[in-house]
Amino acid sequence: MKNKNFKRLLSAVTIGMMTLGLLTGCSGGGAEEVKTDESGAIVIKFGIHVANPAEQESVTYNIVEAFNQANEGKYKVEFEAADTETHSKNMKLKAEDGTLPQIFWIEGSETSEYSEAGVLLDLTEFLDENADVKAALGGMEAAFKDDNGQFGLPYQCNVQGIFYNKELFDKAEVAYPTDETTYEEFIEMIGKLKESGITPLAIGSKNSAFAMWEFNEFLARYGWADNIENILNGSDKFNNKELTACFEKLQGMKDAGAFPENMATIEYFDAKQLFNEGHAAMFGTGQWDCGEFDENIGDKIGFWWGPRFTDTQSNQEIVMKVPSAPIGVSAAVADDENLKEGVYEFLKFYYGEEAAMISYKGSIFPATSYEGVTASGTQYSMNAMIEALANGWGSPEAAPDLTVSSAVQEALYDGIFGVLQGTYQPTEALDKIDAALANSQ
Amino acid sequence: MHWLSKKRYKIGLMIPTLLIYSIFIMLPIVVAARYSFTKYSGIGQAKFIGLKNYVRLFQDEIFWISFKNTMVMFVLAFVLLISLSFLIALLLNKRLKAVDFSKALIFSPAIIAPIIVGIIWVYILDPNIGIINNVLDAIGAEGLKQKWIGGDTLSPYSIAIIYFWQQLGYLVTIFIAGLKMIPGDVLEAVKIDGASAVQEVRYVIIPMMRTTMSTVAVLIITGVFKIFEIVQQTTGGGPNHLSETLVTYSYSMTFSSSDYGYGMSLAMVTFLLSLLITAIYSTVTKERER
Amino acid sequence: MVSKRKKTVQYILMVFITFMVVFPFLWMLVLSFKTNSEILSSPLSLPKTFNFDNYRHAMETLNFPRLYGNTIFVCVISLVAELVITFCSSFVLARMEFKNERMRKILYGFLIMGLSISPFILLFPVYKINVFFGFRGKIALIFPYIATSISFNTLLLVGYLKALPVEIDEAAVIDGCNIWDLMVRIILPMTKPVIATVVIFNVLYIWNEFPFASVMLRDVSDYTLSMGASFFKGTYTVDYGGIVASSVMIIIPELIFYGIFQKNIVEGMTAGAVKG
Repeated sequence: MKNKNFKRLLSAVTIGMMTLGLLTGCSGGGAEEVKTDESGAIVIKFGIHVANPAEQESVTYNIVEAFNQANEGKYKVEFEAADTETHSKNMKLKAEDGTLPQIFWIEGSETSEYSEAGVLLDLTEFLDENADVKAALGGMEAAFKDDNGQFGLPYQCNVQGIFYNKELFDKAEVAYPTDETTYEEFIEMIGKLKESGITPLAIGSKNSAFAMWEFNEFLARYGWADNIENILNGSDKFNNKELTACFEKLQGMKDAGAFPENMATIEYFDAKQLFNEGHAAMFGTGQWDCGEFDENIGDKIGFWWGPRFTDTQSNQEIVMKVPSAPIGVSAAVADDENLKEGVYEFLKFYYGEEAAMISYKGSIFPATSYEGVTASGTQYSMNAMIEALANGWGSPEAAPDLTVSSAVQEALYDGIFGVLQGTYQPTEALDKIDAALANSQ
Repeated sequence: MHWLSKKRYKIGLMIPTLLIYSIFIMLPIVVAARYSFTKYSGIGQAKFIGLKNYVRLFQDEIFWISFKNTMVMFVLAFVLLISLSFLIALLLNKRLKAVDFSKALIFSPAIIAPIIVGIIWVYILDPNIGIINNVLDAIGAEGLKQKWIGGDTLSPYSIAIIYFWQQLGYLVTIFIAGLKMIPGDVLEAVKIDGASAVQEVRYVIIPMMRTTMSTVAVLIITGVFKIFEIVQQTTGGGPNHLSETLVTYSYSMTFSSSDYGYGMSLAMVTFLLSLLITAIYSTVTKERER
Repeated sequence: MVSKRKKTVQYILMVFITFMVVFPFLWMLVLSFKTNSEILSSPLSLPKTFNFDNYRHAMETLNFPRLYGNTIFVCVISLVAELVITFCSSFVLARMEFKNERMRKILYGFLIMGLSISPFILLFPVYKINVFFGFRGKIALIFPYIATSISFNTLLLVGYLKALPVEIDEAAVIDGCNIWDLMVRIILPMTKPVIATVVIFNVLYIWNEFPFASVMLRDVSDYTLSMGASFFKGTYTVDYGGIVASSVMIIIPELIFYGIFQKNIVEGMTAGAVKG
């Protein structure tokens, strides 16, 4: 009897295992070795943070297409595409099991996690071999360097600030903001715009609490770059004089009625729509929306860095032209000379002049700058940004929100939106960021 | 059925289920539980930190807010769902014309992709652009206008209502299947005895539906503790985590804040809480049966 | 006369409830004919022109035949496997004798416990388990789907199997049935309504499942229907029109499927009516 049970069990397990084996067999494919396509070209995988790159990251898509065409039969870059949230999860899982795509986009605040885990290739060698690329990057790459070397390169260059609709300003009889406009004047401006019956500054916080680009400028002008190191090493706190003053300004904007009443239930996309349709006078974002604004607002668009603050000693002459989140190269690439060569070829192309031209054409600032490569006359939004950049002011090495770890970054966003919505007092919000920092250590 | 209940039959019939379940559900839970005692970002080395995550959790204000919200949703959804889905099932079990069509329609919310559920309900509940407040405006009842979602109090109630709407069709279907299992001659006998409709329900149908009732109850309890997409799509847990549920909060900790260890400790607590309530429910109903 | 009035009240109730529940759904149909900016800026109005642009765009963006194909492939394999194994195990738990009654309770409780688990806890560990077994692509979804259905199916099947009178088994055995005959020829037909319910729920779960699909599938050629919506939502752009239209196209087969099986629940009962 006992024996029979055992036999039965054994056969059940065997059948189970056989089924497993069978299914595995069907799925085929070996480990992540170097793959080639039908034409014998080496396949390079590019992990990207949108599901449909042809439409959602068309500039990168076009660059990759151009590269593939130029290297037909030799190299072929293929996307591994998933929406941002899924992409972030997937990359972590693949870092764990060693199946990372050769090149992949990394969430800005997660870079240090990857770098510490040692899954990224040090690109110092690449930059040394390609002096022209290094020169074109012009220091943009510095944000992605740590003790483990050059672990990433900027995916693009982000220019962030406040876009405004000149037509709505004219209607409300408000002067356009300039580099000299102070915070007090800004509040006055908000009041007048509101009186004219429109939303002064569109912003949405549902599922998009990261949409706070205009406030990076606020943080930077309250000495973020000088203080952040001390805050992170514990000798200072987020709840300090400078940042309290900064968060009080956010509160002041809320009190002046700058934002849509339903900002908690609308998303970044909805807020942008308010601006596109002329229901809101200003919208904080970066260059990625230029194409959309050209279509909807045309030459009525203006661009502004944000107000000057008079209650701080920190430098006010700061613009926000910063590297976006980086792309990294899987460390495993180093194991195969041919593959590595291919990846280097692609990076050379991606940071080359032709790619920069493709980029400008698609209204995206590339991480590189090449002389004579710029936007065309009908790219109004892009030109508004280029005009604003002409003041020659310096920019921080990285956007403030990308200088902290994910947990702190989340708390920072929470804090900012908490103050904007009136759920937190400024110091309360800053205390919460401090708490998140303490918890993450 | 003694002679059929041989041990080898039992083992043979149970093994596949137990094997797959153990590997793909229980093993992952054990793994997750282990991570809840560590500091781990999702990649690299997990660092063992003992009970620290759990200590932090009980001091975490947002945890308590999510806990409260989850309980609000639980009570509201439970009461509404169990009573109304039963009554609707009784109605739809009648021989009415087009009743199948109506069943399919009532079921339809359950299969709409969550992202669409979000979009639809935002347009209903949004304080500015939503239908409800606009209608209230139009009929001159401005006083009744509320921040149905996005404010700091009503969101969990609204989310419970959306959940109710979404689950209704599911539970009605289960109840109908249960009603169909009641032998027709029993009901006929009751009719012949001259029982009223209320009596029929009270003394015949409800007692015969005990298993179905508890099935539905267990589904609601465990379901409420898994509400995720509706929250993500209507309020995203905001403003400032005020409408967060236990699941959404642990999700946001795990993935947005890259705090896998802490996220898993939140998830474990949620899991245990849901088990506890289910256990309490089944003990209480068992006792009543006696 | 009284009964007629009662019928009328019942009809009114039915129509009212149906309308309340289905209103948001109908509205979604309306939304699918509006342009993206119409959806965002004037959500309550009717579409200006009745156009199929969203559908055309959805068809161009998504490879529907492949998405349907993949989903049906995963769905059919998982469904058959999970129905067979959970019917067997539920039969044991509901109708067989245990020397130790506590053992039955423990096993039942163990299997039901899974209901309390939200799927995202499982994501990372299950991914690693799949890697360990070498499951890739669509295959990687099958075992997680089977596993997640076990708790639900056990809850429903055990409940209903228990409700069937013991005399059936006794009669069957006296007639000389073996266990296989009893399960397949006698009990199975009687549980048709609940099997139909389980099939509906299992299929719809798989049809709409996103978390596992998004993490396990890496090749576009393996994508299932639930991944469709992500094609319309980028980091900085969203195409609500496309999302709505593609959802409608995903939902319609589900509704038809539900209609068919819902009928089965009713017919199943007349065919295998339990005569005590």
